[in-house]
Amino acid sequence: MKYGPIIYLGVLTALVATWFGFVAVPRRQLAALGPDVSTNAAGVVVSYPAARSGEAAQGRDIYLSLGCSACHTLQVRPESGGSDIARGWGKRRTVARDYLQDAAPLLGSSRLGPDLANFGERLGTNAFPLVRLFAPRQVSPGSICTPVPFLFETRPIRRGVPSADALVLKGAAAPESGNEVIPGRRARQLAAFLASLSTSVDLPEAPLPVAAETALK
Amino acid sequence: MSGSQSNLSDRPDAVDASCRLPVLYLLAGGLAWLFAGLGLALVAAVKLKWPGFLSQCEVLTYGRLEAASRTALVFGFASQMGLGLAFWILARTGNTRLPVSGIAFVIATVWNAGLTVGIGYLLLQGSSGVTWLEIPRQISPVILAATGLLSLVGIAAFAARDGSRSEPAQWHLLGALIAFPLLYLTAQLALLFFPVRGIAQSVTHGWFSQGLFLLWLAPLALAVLYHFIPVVSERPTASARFAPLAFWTWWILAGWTGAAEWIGGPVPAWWVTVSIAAGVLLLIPIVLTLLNLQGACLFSRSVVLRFAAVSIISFALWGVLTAVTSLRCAQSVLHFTQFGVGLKELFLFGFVAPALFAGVYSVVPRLAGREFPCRISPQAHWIFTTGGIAVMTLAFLVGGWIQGWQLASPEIPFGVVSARLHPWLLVHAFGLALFGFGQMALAANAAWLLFECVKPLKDPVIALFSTTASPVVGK
Ligand code: HEC
Repeated sequence: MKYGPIIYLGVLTALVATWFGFVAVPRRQLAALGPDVSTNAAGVVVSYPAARSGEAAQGRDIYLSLGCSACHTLQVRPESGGSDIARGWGKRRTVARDYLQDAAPLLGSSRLGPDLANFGERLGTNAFPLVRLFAPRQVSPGSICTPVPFLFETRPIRRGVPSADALVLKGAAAPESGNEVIPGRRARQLAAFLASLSTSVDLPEAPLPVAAETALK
Repeated sequence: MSGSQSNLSDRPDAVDASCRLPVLYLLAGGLAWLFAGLGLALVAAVKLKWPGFLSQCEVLTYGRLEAASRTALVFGFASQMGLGLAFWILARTGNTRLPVSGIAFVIATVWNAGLTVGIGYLLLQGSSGVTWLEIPRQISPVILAATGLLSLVGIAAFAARDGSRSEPAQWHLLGALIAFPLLYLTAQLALLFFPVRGIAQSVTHGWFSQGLFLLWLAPLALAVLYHFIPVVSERPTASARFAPLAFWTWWILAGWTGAAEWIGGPVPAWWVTVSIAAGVLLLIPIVLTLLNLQGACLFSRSVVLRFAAVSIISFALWGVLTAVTSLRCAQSVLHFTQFGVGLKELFLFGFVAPALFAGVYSVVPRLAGREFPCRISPQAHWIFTTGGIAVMTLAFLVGGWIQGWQLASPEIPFGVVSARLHPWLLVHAFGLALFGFGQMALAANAAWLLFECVKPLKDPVIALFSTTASPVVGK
């Protein structure tokens, strides 16, 4: 059997067909998707998703450079397919429009840690607890979340007055006496990114549940 | 073609001589990357138990270690060993010299250098955030170019084959050598160089990651099995008439399975549905392939056939589990759990790696001109490899299943789910260590073999680089 040319052609054809399905068509089809424009309660026109603030955008780069996606997803599955909504990880499923601003959507594939798609909402009005980045076990005993102490600076307390943003640390994580731990620029950026995570916006293709909507009013 | 009919009898020697340098180099390089990847994976496993371990060191952050170890194992180990074996199989089945073997050696060195710099960069500067394309775009084109050129060498060997006869191993190799460079090129362009915003990226990315496994690693491993099982068991390929069907159904279907991993995700549903359907249909080529690959046996006296048997069993198990658990009802429980990681490991460590080892035990003695010196070591290698695979995949398949059921019950707090997973993570780490330990048997035996080959030579360096004469005097 003369197989050579048949295999060249067959494999190429099979590959090009899937290329259409997975590269060309999605680029085309999803390019038509634009932000959702609506008028909020105060009469201001808002567009969702909005571009991230500079600090949060830099924080996102840190998140991906440190590989936080190895354990955290950024997507909420519909109620029919998992307990994400029941666990309070989001009010509605996430849809393609939620990721319009992202160059490489960090959907993630493992949930060794909880989903973070709406982490900012879980914070509510609280400031992001930077201790959680320095030593997650201070906040959540036994946690296997990655500590990132290298984003912080340990330095001697200046003039006997601890700095206002020094971390409050207990036990083994606490610095030697006379020293304090303060967040560096990158820690603040990462925190800004995490605090910005929220998808609770009513979209035509993914409406917020009515109960939640009336509760907000 | 260079050889005439009259010297066909000494052709095998000439074929082996042309392969010696690049093939042994690729196999040795693959082995080195296997250790690098396993080492990184073990440090990552320790960090899952003690996150504080080396936590001051940004370079060794869990996320980076995990990415670096996967990259080392798939690109450094499996791809490289697979290419080495591919060269030899294509030259041998075609009864032709490997073309430009010296240049192939140089390109392979460039590949290794690129990979080293790329993984170093990934650890030092952070990942690009795209799984399997974590090597940053400043360096990944080097690896792409090297992959493409090495593939061309393989394709040229196929084109120069003696006669028009061809066997299934050659088809799969040709497919892989054509498909992967194009896949890798497209993925780099679409994901690293000209990314569009949003979910289209994720769909494309799913396409690439499935292609990397199913249209590159799988055909490389299948080719090794298709070639060596009949040779070593001295029986022709069973049910050979199914082989073309198995080949074509695999190549037509496997490329469509890419979006299954986004089930329930923000990806338009039809991609996911198509992918699930293709994944289930993939059972057809898997069953047909199994029919062809009878002849390997777990209890055979030949370590080659025993490695082949482990590989085939893992392949079958992987196929069935992937098809069954891709259905929506199963995925709502198993998605995002360690079960998925377990399936990937079953594929890489259970199916691909043992097939490559079977190839190594067949090819290296021929190229070196002598048997592996230690007879016990391959047995130990097989036992630890098989045991390690069994422990680590079972830990994640079972532990991941339990994790999934608990995650599906919202009344169980996340912290409890996480704590109950801990023992399984430890068992997995133990399995990984067993597997790694087994590889030392192979490395030690290979080092001894090298020493034996080099010892009788006056000038070992010249002999190693000579591609025309066998370095083993008097054999
Ligand atoms: C080894 C897996 C792992 C990695 C890697 C990881 N995490 Fe975690 N993360 C967890 C686990 C487990 C939890 C839950 C326990 C806890 O609250 O600490 C968690 C919790 C969190 C939480 C709190 C979520 C909530 O709902 O309360 C945040 C925020 C977080 N991680 C951020 C990060 C960031 C930022 C990174 C990257 C530097 C990261 N994680 C890397 C495993 C991981």
